[in-house]
Amino acid sequence: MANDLEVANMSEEALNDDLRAGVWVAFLLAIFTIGEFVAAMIAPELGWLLLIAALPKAYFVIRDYMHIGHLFEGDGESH
Amino acid sequence: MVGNSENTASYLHKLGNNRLGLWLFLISDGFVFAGLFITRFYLMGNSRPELEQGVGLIVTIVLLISSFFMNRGETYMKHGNVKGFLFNTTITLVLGILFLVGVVGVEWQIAPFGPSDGAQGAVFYVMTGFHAFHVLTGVIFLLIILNNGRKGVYTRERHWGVEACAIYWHFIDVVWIFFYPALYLIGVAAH
Repeated sequence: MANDLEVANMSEEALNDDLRAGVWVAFLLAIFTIGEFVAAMIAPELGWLLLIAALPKAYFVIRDYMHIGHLFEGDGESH
Repeated sequence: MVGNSENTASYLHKLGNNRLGLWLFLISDGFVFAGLFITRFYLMGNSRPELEQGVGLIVTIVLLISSFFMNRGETYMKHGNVKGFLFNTTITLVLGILFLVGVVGVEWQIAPFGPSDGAQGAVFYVMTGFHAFHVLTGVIFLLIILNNGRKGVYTRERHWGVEACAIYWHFIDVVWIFFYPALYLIGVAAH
């Protein structure tokens, strides 16, 4: 009984950890998006440099939301 | 018992192949988007289509938030919580439809140029149109997994459909991450 409760708590904790990781990425996306918008309004001559903000955004989405790492784990080792 | 573990091994093998197949498809699809992205700079250089900045920012935020909820939906499914999956995926669906309304229903209608009005018309309508078509496909995909989820098709161990839909949805998001500055922010508005 105590063991079942422990397992339930652990899985609840794992779920919360995974959800927190998603919140963290969303926070970064918001910061970069607002940053690039403000930069474009203040200094439109930045031009191509504005794309620099797009690179980390794409990186975090591909790594943390699309889980590209799963591709290199062999035959579907993780879900 | 042996049959069961063989079954699991076979599923995991298929899962690995499915992931590889989906990523190969997305990479090839990504090349088409990359072609459009390069075409925008080739045709328009340091000028950009004359667009409503507020609409661009709002639809971008809507799409980014939809990706956040898609991730939550997938995470809940991964942990066997079907209710959480259905709730978050439904929000993703609503936000996806809102994005489509924002681009096709609002931005296309208020843009001061048409598809045949020179480079800016061609660039803007082809880029947003091709992307919106992918969003529409993603919305259909979301409807399918929501229906399957309601019927109890997915489990904590087996939910490839959900994972595939989430990867596809985030791919649409990644494309827009590059399209948004290319269409709305970089360069001087053309008149």
